[in-house]
Amino acid sequence: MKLLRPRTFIIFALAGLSGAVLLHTSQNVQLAEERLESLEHSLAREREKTRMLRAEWEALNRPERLERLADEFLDLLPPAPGQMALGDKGLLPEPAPVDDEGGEGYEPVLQSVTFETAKPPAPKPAHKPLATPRPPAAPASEEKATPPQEKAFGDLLNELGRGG
Amino acid sequence: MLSARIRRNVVKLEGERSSALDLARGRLVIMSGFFILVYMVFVVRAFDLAVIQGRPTARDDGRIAAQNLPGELAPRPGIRRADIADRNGVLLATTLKTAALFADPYLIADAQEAAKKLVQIFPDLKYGDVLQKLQSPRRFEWIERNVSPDQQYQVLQIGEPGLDFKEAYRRFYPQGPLTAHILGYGSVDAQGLAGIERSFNNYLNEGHNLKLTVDIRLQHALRREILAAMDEFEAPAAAGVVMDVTNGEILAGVSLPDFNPHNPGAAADNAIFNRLTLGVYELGSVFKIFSTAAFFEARDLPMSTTFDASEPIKAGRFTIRDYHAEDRILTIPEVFMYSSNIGSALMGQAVGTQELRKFYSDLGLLDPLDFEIREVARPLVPDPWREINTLTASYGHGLSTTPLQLVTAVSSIVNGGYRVNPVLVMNEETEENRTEEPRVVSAQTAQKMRQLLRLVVTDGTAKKAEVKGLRVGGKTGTAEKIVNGKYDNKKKISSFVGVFPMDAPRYAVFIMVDEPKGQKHTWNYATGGWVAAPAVARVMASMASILGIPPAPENAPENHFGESLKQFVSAKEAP
Repeated sequence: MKLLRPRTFIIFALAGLSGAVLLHTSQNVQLAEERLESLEHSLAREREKTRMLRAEWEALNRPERLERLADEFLDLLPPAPGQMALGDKGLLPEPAPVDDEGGEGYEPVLQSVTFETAKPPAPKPAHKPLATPRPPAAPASEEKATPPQEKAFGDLLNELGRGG
Repeated sequence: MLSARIRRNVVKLEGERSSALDLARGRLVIMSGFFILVYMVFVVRAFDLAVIQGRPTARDDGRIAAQNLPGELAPRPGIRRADIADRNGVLLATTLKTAALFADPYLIADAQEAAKKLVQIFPDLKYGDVLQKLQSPRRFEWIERNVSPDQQYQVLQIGEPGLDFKEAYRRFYPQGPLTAHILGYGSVDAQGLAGIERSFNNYLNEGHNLKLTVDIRLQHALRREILAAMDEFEAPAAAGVVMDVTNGEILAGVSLPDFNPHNPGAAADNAIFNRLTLGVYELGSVFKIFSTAAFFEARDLPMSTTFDASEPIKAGRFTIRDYHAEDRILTIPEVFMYSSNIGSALMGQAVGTQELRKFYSDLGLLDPLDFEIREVARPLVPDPWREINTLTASYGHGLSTTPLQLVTAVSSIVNGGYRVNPVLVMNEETEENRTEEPRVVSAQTAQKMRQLLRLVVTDGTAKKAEVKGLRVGGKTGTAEKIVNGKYDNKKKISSFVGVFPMDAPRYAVFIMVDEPKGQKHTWNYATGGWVAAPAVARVMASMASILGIPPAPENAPENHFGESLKQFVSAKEAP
């Protein structure tokens, strides 16, 4: 029988093999597509989260809020115009000269260290020394001051579209 | 021979039979092979469908497929309304994804129970409305357009199959009311209804981000100081603007009271109203900057030229008087620093009606502004423009303009005489365009005006505007408001336009306070010099530290700018 010659078997075998390879490849492609889709999906989700976080960051960095917090927790004021100086007019001290050639004023980078036994830490200064000491509720003021702001972003979000 | 033939026949016969059998068997093999192959294909395909593709993917579990829903809010793929940022990239407006709750009444199992629980989760909703929606014959009813993640979780806890969520986009303004009037606001379906949101509606919806010239830090400083001035003088409203005089860029623009851009529907009309671009006011003496500049342009006369301000001018039924009356003959610097209405009216007369009108028109004071926000008002210009209008317009009465127009015109004079237009959207090519702008006054006139403006702050009506080292110049304005067709001397608009540094002007700051009331500590004065000038000074001091503008050192020559005019000012006798 002419059909059952070895060549026929080889052709059938090749056809089967290529079929199997095709199946394998198509499966791989499908898996890859799925993976791609889920990656794109999580990418979109991450982007959305980033947008949300950026909006929250900007809302928390409102100049009005920063000013209020700085006023409350820092002993600093914005510089007045008279407090500014230009560095190139000799108003600022020159940085100390650095001699790294090992000359006369050379000091080794590594210096001997003497270890001391641990001491009980000195009592920390009060949060913000004020002329009139605050009532004992002073540490709580920090907690009190922040939550309304934490809430503010959620409130702002909730306000979105309440009109419509 | 025969047997051989028979054998041959047999062989032949057997050969034929066997070849026929072979053929049949071969066909059978091919057929069965074909069927086996087909079945194999079926098996493989079935395996593929059932096992490989049948695996649940992450996006399917528990989530709704948006494409199956009626698509009012269905986002167009890839396009969302773009962001707006300030000149430093600080976010002013963005679009966030939120969830919107809807119901399919057909799938609702227990409408009463669901409505009861929904009302607990959303206190804004009314039980009756919700119940009506849940029992409606339609297949789709919005319940709540904006749902926080917490509320979403609570709704899922109800376990009602007919309640479902859809993604929605919401406009969010991180800065809140700070830039409300500039940005404007939009509708729920992403259509801008006011401000930049309106004039750049399509541009934003096509996904292009926008960068404004506003600096949020200066915006805050300006708003803070205006609020403080309003508070101090019990004023119901105010407005202010900071402009770069070299190119017209608006660094800050405030109109108070303002509103929450997330909920403009709840704001009063009074708060929505943009006083900077929509309000037209008789701004008073600030206009003397323009009439004086027009005088220098029309008549090449020295600073020592005098005007007789000892007698009020009577023109028809009008009488023009001086508020800070000196009752004597004044030189030009004196007219300007004491803000003499009589002197300015005489200057306007010397310029002439046609010329003064043309000069105001060149400054853009008589036509609506060409601006990137569409809410601009048409100035109220006397028509017909009579001689008397020339006299009153010289000191800023009988002619109403928007505050933004005024600041733009002042910028056009102090920057060296080039007409600028207000700019709100950042454009990298602004620098190059500047040289093409037409000239409104000569460089000499501009220089004289700078000196006069400086004199007002060092020796005139605006001493409270001085910031040490910043060489501030400016002009106060106190105008009576028209109430029922008459000037009401109790209701004023007090304003101050300040410019610094005066020897090379860069920034103009304008503040206008509506109906300030005199206070004890101001000896009941509520004039521009008492109300607006100190506020402008505080804004300028903040600007210096925010923008890093160094003050001139103690004995620098810049500090003496404009002092040459003092020779024309006669020493005031001690009272």
